[in-house]
Amino acid sequence: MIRILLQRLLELIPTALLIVAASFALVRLAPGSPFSSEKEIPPEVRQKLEAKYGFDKPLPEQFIRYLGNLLRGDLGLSTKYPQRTVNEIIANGFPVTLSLAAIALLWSLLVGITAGIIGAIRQNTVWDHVAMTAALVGISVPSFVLGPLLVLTVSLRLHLLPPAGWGDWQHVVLPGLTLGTIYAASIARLTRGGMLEVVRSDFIRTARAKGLSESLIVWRHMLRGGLLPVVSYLGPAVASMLTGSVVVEKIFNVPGIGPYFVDAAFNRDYFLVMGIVLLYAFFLLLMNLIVDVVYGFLDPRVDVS
Amino acid sequence: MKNNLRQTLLRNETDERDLITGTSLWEDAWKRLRKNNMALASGVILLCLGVICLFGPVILGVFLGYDAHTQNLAYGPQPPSLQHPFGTDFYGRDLLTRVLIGAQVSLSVGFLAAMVAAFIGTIYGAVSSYSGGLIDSLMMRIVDILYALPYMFLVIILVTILGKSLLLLFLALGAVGWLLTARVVRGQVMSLKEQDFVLAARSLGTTSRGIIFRHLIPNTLGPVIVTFTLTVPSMILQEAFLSFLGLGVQPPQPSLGSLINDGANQMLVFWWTLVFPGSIMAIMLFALNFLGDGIRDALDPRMKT
Amino acid sequence: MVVLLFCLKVITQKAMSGLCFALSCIAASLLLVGCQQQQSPYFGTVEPRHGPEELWINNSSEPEWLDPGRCSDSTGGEIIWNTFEGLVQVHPATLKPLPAIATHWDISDDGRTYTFHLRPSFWSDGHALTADDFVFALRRLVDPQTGSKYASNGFIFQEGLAISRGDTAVETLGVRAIDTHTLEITLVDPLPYFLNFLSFYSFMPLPEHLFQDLQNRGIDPDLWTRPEYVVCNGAFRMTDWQFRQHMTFEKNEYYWDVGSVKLDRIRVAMVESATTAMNMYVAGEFDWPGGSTSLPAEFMDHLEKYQDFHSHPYLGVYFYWINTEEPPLDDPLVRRALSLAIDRDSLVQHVTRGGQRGSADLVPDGLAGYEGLHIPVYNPVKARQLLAKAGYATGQDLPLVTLSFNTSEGHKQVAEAIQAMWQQELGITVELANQEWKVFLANAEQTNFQICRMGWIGDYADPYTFLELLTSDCGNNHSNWSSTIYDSLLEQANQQHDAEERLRMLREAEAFALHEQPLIPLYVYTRTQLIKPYVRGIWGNHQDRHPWKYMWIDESFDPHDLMVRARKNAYEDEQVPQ
Repeated sequence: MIRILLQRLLELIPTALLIVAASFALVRLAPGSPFSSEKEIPPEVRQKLEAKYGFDKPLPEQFIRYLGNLLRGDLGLSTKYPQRTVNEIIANGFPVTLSLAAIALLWSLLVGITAGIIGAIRQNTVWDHVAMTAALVGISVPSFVLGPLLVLTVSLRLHLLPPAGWGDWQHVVLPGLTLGTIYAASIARLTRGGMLEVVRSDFIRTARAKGLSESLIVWRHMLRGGLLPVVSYLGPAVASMLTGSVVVEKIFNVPGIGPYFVDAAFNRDYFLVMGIVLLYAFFLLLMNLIVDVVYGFLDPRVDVS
Repeated sequence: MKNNLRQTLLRNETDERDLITGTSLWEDAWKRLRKNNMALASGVILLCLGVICLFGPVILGVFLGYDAHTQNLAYGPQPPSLQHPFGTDFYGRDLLTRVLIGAQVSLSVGFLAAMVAAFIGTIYGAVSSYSGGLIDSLMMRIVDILYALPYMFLVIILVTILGKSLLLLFLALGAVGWLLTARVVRGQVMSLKEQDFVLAARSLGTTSRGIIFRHLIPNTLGPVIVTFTLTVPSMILQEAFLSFLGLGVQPPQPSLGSLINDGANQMLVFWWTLVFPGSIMAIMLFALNFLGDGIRDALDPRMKT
Repeated sequence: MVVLLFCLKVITQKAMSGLCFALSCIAASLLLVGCQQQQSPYFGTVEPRHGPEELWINNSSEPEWLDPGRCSDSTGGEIIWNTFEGLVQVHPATLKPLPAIATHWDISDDGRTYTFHLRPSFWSDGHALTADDFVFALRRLVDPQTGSKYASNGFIFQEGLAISRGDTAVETLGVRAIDTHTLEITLVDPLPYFLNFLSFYSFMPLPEHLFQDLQNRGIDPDLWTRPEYVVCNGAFRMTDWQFRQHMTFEKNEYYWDVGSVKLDRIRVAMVESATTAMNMYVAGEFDWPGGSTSLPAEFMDHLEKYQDFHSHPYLGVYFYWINTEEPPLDDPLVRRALSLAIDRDSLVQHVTRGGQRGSADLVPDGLAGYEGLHIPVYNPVKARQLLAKAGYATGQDLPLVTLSFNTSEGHKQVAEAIQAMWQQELGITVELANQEWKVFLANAEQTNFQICRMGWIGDYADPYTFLELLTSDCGNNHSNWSSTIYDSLLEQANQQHDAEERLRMLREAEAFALHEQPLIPLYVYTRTQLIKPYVRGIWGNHQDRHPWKYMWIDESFDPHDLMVRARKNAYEDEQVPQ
């Protein structure tokens, strides 16, 4: 197990290098400069600014310098926010995005697994149909439709929760709901499907034949079978949640990484853009690794390497 | 007596022949699909939607003189009425027409991008899997890397570099959506390539290319179609996301995503500009998801939820 | 018949029960959404969600710099105006220059030398503020080492331009301290608007001792505006800065006029989206959604009915640059035709909807006593004549022209409306190009456009702030048009002592330039605001300057008081200080 883990971690390195190179190239290709503004700045000032960030050197040299800094953990300076380094900006924003994603994940797991279990146990009854159709509706309503609708009804007409911002528990409810609903729906369907598949299989019949109580069957065997597809779904789900949070953060003005990224791309804030891309890429690669390992635990038939 | 016996024998033979003939995979699938009423209903809804989107604006234009672009500033935004079932937007343009054209754009972008993705993915996966060994390993490693990259960010960067044209939008979306298909096809081909008919073809001297394109790919069509029908709603969502952020289809061309964005901004005072485009998008996605489910169940009953 | 049976079959399907559940949810929310708010004269809540010594406002976005010498945008400026104070301040309603750190001043006969007498005052860490702090600040402004984007503001001082080019040393700047509380400033020209301009944030003093201190401690002096280091001399000082969330400011006990500051704490959020800010205002999260932007045009008609909506003309002009070197736009007749074919009144009434004033002049009428040219804002007949005279009998003969603007709902709306007007009145086809901000700016700077949109906000209350836009060496002149006649007219005007004569000469220059039409002015800006009815101490003015130190919360405000409801425009009603 440890050996496999180490092996996978080592394999991350060439992947990482490729990602750094690719994003560096992509970001620099964009036309426009970070220093243009409506009231033009004097050329001497512009030169000085470019020297400060190292933009006056040839591109390959800039790339080597960036790699060097990267190894020391320095992600560079932001051009739009000269008072902050990229490290600081990311350190400020990433925990916010993570907590938003965590809350959305919690919500989606709670609601989704519950709905899925209900649907599986009470299969083909009214409960099942309500749950599954609600799930389908949940998948079909995108976050940027659900979000504004929630704001309009809950916040502006009923005055129950604040429409935007971050800081208190009240600020967390609507964004978490908006982000998590789609995944709750998928998880409900996956849980139900997984449990039903197990129900039909042989070893459940054996368990029943052995005379085990119904609830024992449900909780030990069926649930495990139901959770397996959910676990393998979690990897891409978290990835999707982190990128989907861009829109939710914009709607609710949450100070996470998402809006930084869009603005940074617009403002040609090179170091900030690359910092965020790298952060996400590593995080996702790590998540995939963890998910694979957990899946290996849950289903002994799977070979992790 | 002899005649009766003969007739009975003949009848039995015919019956046996019927029993032996059996049905093909496609006929089977179609029969199962027909039984699934909700899926059929969704298919019908989609068809109707498609027809309405195509012809609706024309009819509205001819009979009522509405089109998506002419402004009537003095008229301004009006709530739904008999004259304008969906109301009008800020420029006085009929919202029903704009929503229909927007749906047109969304559906076409969704289908085309999904087709591009399916096309690229199928060929890539088949080639990779058939080649095997180092080439396969390398090609799949590239897929893994791309899978790990935060998709939304890549598209944002691409759009910022390349500008915002509809064509580039297709390419950007399709360029990132082919990954799932590639993996699915690769898995399928892995199991297919050991089978006898491939050996036979090889011994006959068919080129690798011929084997891939004439034997392997046609047999992967089932899973590819399933992946395709699941990719379409995802592509539509991505396009809407981008339009919501201001990166997708550009004004004055309407797109459901940009209509929803406008509506979300104006919902405090013009609620119909959010509710109607949002509902149409939800209905569209709902129908697509249901239909996709139905097709998947029909083609592969083992995967039934 | 078959269809009907099919429908029935579907409806009786059990899955429909789930669908009905979903549909009823949607219907319920639609009902909630569609029903109108009860008729309140105020847009949003009317009870403050915080104590009376606090104020919650919005400041559009995270500022780039809070350093007076380096800041070049209004979001940073808004903060600096309230945390620092310069030699002069402006009256919050009339914008007249009033004493601030300087108690009085002497002006030389030639109008180029000013001697300011400073009052005794302190920095927020107790250090005394002296004239040397001003000298330090102004030298730093033009010093090329600083790399300030607004160094050009310092070119009004003697040697300012030369220093920024690196030709002479920083010590030669025409700013010197005669003693600890007397400052002498020598200008290049006898500018009549100098005192109003002096209130601008670029000219605020800086705590020289702090820079020394940070350097001795090995800390990067660029970080001096962080709350843990910052030292300031204004009404408030920053105590907390949550990146991209909010900043907190508390009353500065060392401020010389601390007695007139009524609020103890101000919380400033940084919400960029105007509609989100409005939503938060409705819910009571802001008392005032912000002084740096206007409200979106879509809401104007709706908001005008409410008591807490205010609108005031603003010192800015929205216009279109024309690239005068590229045919067919190299012919002034064509350019003037384009200008006359735009129905500006319809534009401001139906598109921008903010109560703006359509104008074909560059300098807003009435600015510091300036009488505007009153060029006709709409004359389609004359426009067609001019176009014909230029050699294009019908609009179709004119080659395709592209109009570019940066991505924004407002600019798009204006551009589409004008595109339609040109098509209708002149028969010409114009293509729209929507460019992303950075790309757009790059193209504007290189004059890589045919017609492009621009806005110009005046930095000081004098016509010259607009007229300098068309001079030959103005870096922001993107039209490829220049004229030595125009340049010399302006130069002579600035040498004038007699204010009336000067304004007359400026007017002559403007008429000359606009006859050539290197740009098409469209309208004069307004700033629209939503202000909670319990907030007092805000007046409307041309530069939209609203110092926090005058604001306070009226605890006696009662939303049910009919007398209060009868008041429409609180701007006029406020008791003006002094």
